[in-house]
Amino acid sequence: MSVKHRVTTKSIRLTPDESKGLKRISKAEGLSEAALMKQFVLEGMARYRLEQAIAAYARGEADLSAAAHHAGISVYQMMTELQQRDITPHTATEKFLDGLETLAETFGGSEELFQSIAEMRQAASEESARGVEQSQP
Amino acid sequence: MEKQNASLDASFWINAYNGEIVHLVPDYFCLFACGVVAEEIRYPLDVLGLSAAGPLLFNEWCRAGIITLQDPQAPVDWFQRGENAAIALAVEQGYFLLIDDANPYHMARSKGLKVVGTMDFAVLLYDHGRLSYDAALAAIQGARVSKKQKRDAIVALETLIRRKEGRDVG
Repeated sequence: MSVKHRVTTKSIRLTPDESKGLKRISKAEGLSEAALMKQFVLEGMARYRLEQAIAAYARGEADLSAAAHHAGISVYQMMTELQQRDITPHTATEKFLDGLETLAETFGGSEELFQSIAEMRQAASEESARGVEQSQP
Repeated sequence: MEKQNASLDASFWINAYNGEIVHLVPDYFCLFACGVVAEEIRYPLDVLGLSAAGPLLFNEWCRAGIITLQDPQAPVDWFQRGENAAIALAVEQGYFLLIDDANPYHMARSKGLKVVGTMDFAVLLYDHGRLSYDAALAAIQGARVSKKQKRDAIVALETLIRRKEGRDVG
């Protein structure tokens, strides 16, 4: 057997109640308790990797692609996970307004579009100043 | 209006497709995609075996020459995989960067890149009269981004409408 496919036995201690619970699920699912425990461990590890990746993304330490890669899921799935958790990168508003302005300057935009961008920048700047004031002792 | 070369990221493609504005992107941009980005977009087809419409359209556009596959000579190490290559290509070739991920934004901007997302693009399309209000709103609502990001785009859309209506009344 190759090193990659070698299996290792791990043992865990369960309380009588936990043990009974496992037995019940084992019967209901038609799986051995060992198979069920392995499934739970793998699911738990996958969930842990996903939460770690999402936390790194929220801190701005990883981009979407890297976070998906770390969690072992696709970019599609990672985008859905972030949306479900409503995670907003802290540069999102700035990126949006800069992008809109870039587009308007490159492809032409109405006067009203440029005015709208300026109005939103002003509002974002005032909101940011209020945030700084409130955070000061 | 002169079309601009742009390096495409998977996040932009996914949202533009979901928001039903992807067909308007080639009117503004000549699209280039790196191999890693193509892999990410094709994931449902190639890995999951699903006959997903977005990846199928991507393949069709590659075959038709609407999207050109092009890899950067030297991927950068700021971020990993898809964005890494998409940003590197944009830097090397002086392309626009079409991306909906905000995390690599400052790095991309510091390299002098012009960065555009689907939210901004939907608002521009409305301004150009290429999308109705309802279609622009549907594009924004269909994106896989946070509520705050959607709210920003909707506020821009509403502000623009208010100003345009003010002009018409005035």
